[in-house]
Amino acid sequence: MAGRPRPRGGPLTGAGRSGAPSVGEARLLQRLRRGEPGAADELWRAWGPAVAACCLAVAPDRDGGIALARALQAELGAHARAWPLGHAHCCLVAAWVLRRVSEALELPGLDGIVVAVPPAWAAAAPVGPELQRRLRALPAELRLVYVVDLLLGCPADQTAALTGLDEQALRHARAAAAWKLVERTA
Amino acid sequence: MNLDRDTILGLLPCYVCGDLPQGVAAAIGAAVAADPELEAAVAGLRSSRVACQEALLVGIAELDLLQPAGGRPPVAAPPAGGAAGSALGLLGGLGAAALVLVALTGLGAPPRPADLALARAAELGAGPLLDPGADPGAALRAAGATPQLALAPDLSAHGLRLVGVAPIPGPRPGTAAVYERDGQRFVCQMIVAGGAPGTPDALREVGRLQLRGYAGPEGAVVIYDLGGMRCLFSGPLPLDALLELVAAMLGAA
Repeated sequence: MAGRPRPRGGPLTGAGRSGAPSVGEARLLQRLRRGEPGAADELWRAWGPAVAACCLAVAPDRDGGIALARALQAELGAHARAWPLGHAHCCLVAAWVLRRVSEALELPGLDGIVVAVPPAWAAAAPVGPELQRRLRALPAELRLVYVVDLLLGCPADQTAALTGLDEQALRHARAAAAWKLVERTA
Repeated sequence: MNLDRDTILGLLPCYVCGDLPQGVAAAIGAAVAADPELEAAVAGLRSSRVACQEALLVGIAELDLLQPAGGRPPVAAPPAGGAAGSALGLLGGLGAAALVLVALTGLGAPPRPADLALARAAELGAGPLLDPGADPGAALRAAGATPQLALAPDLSAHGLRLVGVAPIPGPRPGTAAVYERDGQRFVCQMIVAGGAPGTPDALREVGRLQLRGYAGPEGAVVIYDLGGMRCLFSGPLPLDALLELVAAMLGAA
């Protein structure tokens, strides 16, 4: 798929959701491809927190999450050198994290996800331990899609094109997770 | 475009995250505006995104994962490039900030991050800024900022009016939000946390946060890490007064 997706609408729209690279991102990718020292570290400084947060959110335990984040940090430069041009880094990182974390944790696919809209929902999200509990209660494959979207913000069609995952399945996973977090329980 | 309620509900999470084609988003927006129940759902979904982002990033800075695998990051290198469109003029200004920094600190000793923050703040306070519009985060993302740095806190409760935002390019990219109060400009710079910010001139504890204060020739900067992010808040106030302001912003004073 081309790097210039169709325009989008909604409350958080803009180029940040367009999937197109900024000038700085294109330059950094060129530097990575040339093997320029420091380019991979620069990329990690920009995206490391989000990648680490995704790993911690999805791994079965904290130590596993940290180990996974370290593994991804170590291999980011090598992977990024092969990234295609024309995509925003948020999308390239999102696709890479989805693929690598799914592989590493042997997560199931996204087939057959049903978006269950709850009968009642809260106008304010739960916070603290309750929010953590609800996040942890999500199946890991849904959690991964949700947190990757949350922290990296790539449009579903771009993520699908870069990962080979089904766009509709990605949207369903996001929506199913989002509704679970705001479901009003008795 | 007519969408039935079940379809709207199914699409609502993607509407909230801004990932729907314009026509569909417009139709859902109209339906939400006319239905308080849908409006509450949007509010809940939106607040859950914010709450999750905060929850997921808390503690990331303490993992010591943000240092590059290959060595220490440069403290203050000139910007390497930048965001698109109207931000280009701004980037020239930030290149000038790096030069100001070199002039301030000389070439022999590495400058403190606080010196860089103050030099950048001086340029940002005077230079071209992006219009924050109704959604400053979207404006920053549109200029190439990463989502976790695309933040411009609402500080109106402290008399600080947001006047503009800007991406910060360079080896340690970030974002800046510029505020105005009584004709004076304050700058909140956000970068990814990591590395020690240097010995401060003053310290203050606010709950679990440690505020590090640095005095400069024409103002001060307060640095603190929160949720994997580092905030560098600067303004034309004496260090004590700026520490007091930041503590108040963080709800401690």
